[in-house]
Amino acid sequence: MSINIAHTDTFEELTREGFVIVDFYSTTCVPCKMLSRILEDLTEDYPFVNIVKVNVTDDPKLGADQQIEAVPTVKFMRDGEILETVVGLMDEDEIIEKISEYFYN
Amino acid sequence: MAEALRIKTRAAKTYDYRSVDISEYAVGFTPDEEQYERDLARVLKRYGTKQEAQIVEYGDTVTLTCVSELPRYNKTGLPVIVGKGLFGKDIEDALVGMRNGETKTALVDEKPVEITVSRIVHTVLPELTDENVASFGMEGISTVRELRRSLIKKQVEGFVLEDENADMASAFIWQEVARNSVIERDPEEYAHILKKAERKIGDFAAEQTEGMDHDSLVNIFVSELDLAAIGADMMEKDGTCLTVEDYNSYIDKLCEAYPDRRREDIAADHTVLDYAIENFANYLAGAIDRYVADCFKELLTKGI
Repeated sequence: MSINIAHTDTFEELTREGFVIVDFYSTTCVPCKMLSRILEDLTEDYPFVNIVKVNVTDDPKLGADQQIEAVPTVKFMRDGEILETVVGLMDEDEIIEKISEYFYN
Repeated sequence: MAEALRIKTRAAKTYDYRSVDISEYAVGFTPDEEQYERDLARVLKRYGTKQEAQIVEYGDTVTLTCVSELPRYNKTGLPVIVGKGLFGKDIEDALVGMRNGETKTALVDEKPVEITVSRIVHTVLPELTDENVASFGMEGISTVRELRRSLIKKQVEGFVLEDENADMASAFIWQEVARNSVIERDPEEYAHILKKAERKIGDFAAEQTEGMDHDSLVNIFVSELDLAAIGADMMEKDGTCLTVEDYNSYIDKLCEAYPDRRREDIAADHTVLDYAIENFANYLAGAIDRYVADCFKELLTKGI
């Protein structure tokens, strides 16, 4: 699996099946860049986990639709349903913990 | 061709930000050896060879079926990286040594879980030698030492993002560039930025401006205009530009985000001049930040 970039017209399709980590970020946000790097590393370690990225600078409508008030925001979703939303930078271990908690449950 | 955006404020003389020495700011970094080992393992895994295997070992990716009254352990076709502990330490330990197709019962919370292995993928990691590193084809990396340095540089990138010294280095460069450049401010744009400064300063909460006098705050806005002039000059030299289309698309996005607001009102709050000043200045800021990051990467990994 891989990292996919979602836009308003593709978000639903990319998140409707299975477990997905959705990263809402903005172009200039520094913590977002750190999170992005962590997710890229994780996708190498856990290639079966789907990651979807949404640039709310480029797609503010999707950000507003998803009620994103700050970036980075990470949503852990399964079959289109939100399992948990975390606002702010997460470290690698925290994300791994969430994968363990949600991917297999 | 789309119409280019311009500002009338001009940089008559631009001070090169790359001539500012920031070495005194590049301090306080220690490589994280555990992180290095993790990053190195990722690189080796990326260039490793995946092989179907018959017996499970730690680190293998195993596809399995679990049958249990515990919902977490009652699934089919589950991918598990053995030894990572994500699925469950007890099950993962029990998997080690199992054969492809074998079924075994493990205990989780004293409850039986029947596990059947349906696929085992083993990654054979390349040995860490100069020859192998050269064969990876990574740009500018052909030895183990260069690979180590590049991975430590990656750590520095993360360090720079959070390092106050790096922010101070960027601020110092901005200050030096503004001080040593000669800017011809357009009276109308200067008046516009002063007006904007007064409006914005009025919106600031008291704690945001604590310890700063009014003139210093105004200067922040004025220096944005000056640096925008340099950024515009730089963009032109780089053969790129901002266009009216960029601005319209920016307003379109704001309209989508705030559907209750009228386009004219949004455009009045975000004028084309504000957009141009902000983006020209950001162009320079981005270049300075990249310069700081590059300098820090070189300075902090010297000797590695």
